[in-house]
Amino acid sequence: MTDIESPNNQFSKVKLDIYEGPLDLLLNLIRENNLNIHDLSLTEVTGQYLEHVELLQEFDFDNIGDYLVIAAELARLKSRSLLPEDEKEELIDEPEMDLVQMLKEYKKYRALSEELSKRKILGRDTFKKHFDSTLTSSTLWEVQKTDIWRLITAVKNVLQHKNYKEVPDIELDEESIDPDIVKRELLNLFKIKNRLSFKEIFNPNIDKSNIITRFLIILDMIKDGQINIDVGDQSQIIFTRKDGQNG
Amino acid sequence: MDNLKRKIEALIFTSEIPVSKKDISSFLSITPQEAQSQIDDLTKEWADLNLSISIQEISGGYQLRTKEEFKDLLKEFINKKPFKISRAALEVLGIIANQQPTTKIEIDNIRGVDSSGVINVLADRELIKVVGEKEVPGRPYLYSTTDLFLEIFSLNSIKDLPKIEEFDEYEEEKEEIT
Repeated sequence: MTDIESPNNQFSKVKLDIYEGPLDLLLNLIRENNLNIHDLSLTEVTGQYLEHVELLQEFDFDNIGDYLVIAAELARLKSRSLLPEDEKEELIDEPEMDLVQMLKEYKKYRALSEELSKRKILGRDTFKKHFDSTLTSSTLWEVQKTDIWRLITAVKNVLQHKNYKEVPDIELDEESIDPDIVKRELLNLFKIKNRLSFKEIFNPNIDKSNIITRFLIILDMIKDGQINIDVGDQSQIIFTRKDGQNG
Repeated sequence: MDNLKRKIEALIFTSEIPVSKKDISSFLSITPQEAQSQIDDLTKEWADLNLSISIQEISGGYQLRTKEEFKDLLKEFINKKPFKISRAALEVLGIIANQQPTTKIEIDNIRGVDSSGVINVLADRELIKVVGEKEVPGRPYLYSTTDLFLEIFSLNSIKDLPKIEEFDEYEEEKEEIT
C-alpha cells in the first residue's frame, strides 16, 4: 500500500524488483529496434539503455546496482567495438560476462513465464469450491501484464522533450512536492474520468519533479491494483480506474 | 459397482485439495486399477452431462473445477480483490519450476537482478517453499514449487510444464503486451 505520510519519506525508494530487471529492459530495447541478440545489436541499444538507467537513478530504484553492472558491461562491449582489430586481440584475457548468452538464456525463461500466464489459472479462468478458504490463499488470481518499460520510456520522452533548460536550473526543491497532495490530485482526476490517457497525467506543462512524483504514484497504484495500464489506439498508454475502488 | 463410483464422487466433491488415486483406493480399500477405471467412468459421466463443472486432473489428483466459459460470471459473483502476480513473479516461478531445487543466487543470475522481494512474496503465498540447504559455502536455501503452485496453474504434475530447452528457438510474439 502507498503509505505517504510526509514528503520526502521512504516513498522515494521504489521497489522495482516486483517488476522487471536489466535483462528485461535490454530485451525490450532489442525487440523495439527489431534487432536480434548479438554483440552488435547490444552496442546499438547501449545509448538507449543508459538513458533508461539514468531515469531509474532519479527514482532511486532499489536494484539500481544490478542495472549498473549491465551498463558497465555494455560500455565495455561498446568501447571494444571501437578498437581497431589488432588491438582487440590484446584484450582477450579480460574477464567478461557473456551478455549475449545471458540474454538468450533469460529470454527462454521469459517465454516460459508467458506460458505460465496463459495456463488456466485458478481464480481467473477456473474456480473450485471452498473459495473463502484463506489457508490456501486461493483468492482471485490475476497476472499483472504491466509493460513497465513502455511507461518508463514514455516518461523519459516527456522529460527529454521538455525544454527544461529554459527554466533556470532549479535544483529540485524536493520538500515542496508533497506526494500526498499529488496523489489526491491524481485520484481526483480519476474521479472525473475513468480512463485517462498518458498525456492527461504526464502533461508536459507540469514540472519535472511533479512528473516524477506522479510517475511513482502511478506505479504504486498499478501495483495495488487501483488502476490498470493498457495500450490503446496508436500505442497510446491508457490508465483505467478499476471499479470497486473508492479512490 | 455404481455405488463405488458415487462414493468416489462424494470424496472428490468434499475435498478441499485434489484427491489422489492413491488416497481414494486406500480409503475405499480397492486396487488403484479399480479406482482408476471408476474415476475415468465418473469423469466421462460428468463430461456427458454438460454441466458447468468438470472433474479435472490437478496436482496429481482429481478436483471439481468450473469450466473456463464461466470465468467472467464467477469473477463478478465473487468480487474479491485479486492477488496480483507480476511478470517478475512468473519468471521466478518458471525458473524454480524448471531448476528445482534451486537457490536465490541461481535465480538472480538468470534474471540479472536481485529476486529476494519476489521470492519472499511467492513463499508467503505458499507457491514456493524451502526444501533444504545447498552444500556450498553460505549454505543457501533451496527452493521448490509447492502443490499449491500446481493447483493454481492447473498442472497435474511439474512435468506438464514445457522444458526450458523447448524454448531454444522461441520466436517472440510480435503482438504488443497489453
